[in-house]
Amino acid sequence: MTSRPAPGRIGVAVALACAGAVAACEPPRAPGHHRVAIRSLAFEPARLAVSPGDTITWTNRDIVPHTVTGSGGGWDSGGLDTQESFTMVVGEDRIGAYTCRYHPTMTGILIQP
Amino acid sequence: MNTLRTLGAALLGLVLAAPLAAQSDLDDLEMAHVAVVASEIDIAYAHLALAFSRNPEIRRFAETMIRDHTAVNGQVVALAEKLNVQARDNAMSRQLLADAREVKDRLSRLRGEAFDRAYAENELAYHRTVNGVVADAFIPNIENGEVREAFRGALQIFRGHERHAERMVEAVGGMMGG
Repeated sequence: MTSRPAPGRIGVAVALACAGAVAACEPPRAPGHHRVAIRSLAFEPARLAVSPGDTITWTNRDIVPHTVTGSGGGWDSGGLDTQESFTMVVGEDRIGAYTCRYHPTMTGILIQP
Repeated sequence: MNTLRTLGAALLGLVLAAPLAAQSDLDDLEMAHVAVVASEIDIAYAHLALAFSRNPEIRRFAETMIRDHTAVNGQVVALAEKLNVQARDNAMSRQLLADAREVKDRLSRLRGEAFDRAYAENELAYHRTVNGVVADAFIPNIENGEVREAFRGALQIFRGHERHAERMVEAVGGMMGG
């Protein structure tokens, strides 16, 4: 004799199946691409909302060299001469404050929305 | 020991605190030469710091001064070439050099923390004074638009140096002055 699931369990199963179908139809969020200008010894914008997988390109618009360096030193662009750029893919470990090694009064921050 | 800071700032102040009218009597080429000489002086101070200091804050600041003032002077030279002119020597730039020789002589007699404090305090006083002259006496009186924009851009850099120098003075226990 075949046992039949309780009506409540049938409803939950159907709901889950529907939710799964909807989720399967939603396209994954495309990675964002952000740009930061380095100008007059400042990062513009200094505060940037990003998600893991996004890319950020910093471009040095100053006449003096700069770096883009994660606070704690986890990541670093190396020296950027005028008009040079540095592009980075955002990882969870890169969210947070950053600075310029040559000009420590310059600060920027990457935050998650 | 605040005698070096007092001497350096006083000497610089005597030169650069001449009546603004006198400073503004300089033409664009003479002001450009003063700016170049002021940068060369700071580069020379920075080389002293790299020779005598082991403090990482001092050394980082000095390396930045060499890097940045070299870049700024390169821009001045490039602009002069573009405009087909040459920056012109003048009494103010000559006095700056003469005073800087005295400051370098006194700095070079110091070592250790005494050198670090003296260098840091001199850098802060120097940047404050030079930035004031550039902002108040030079920029308003520069005739050529490209030269004026170049000075404005350089002033933003030098104001950043002033903020960095404040941090350096705090780090080595120096006196901020005012």
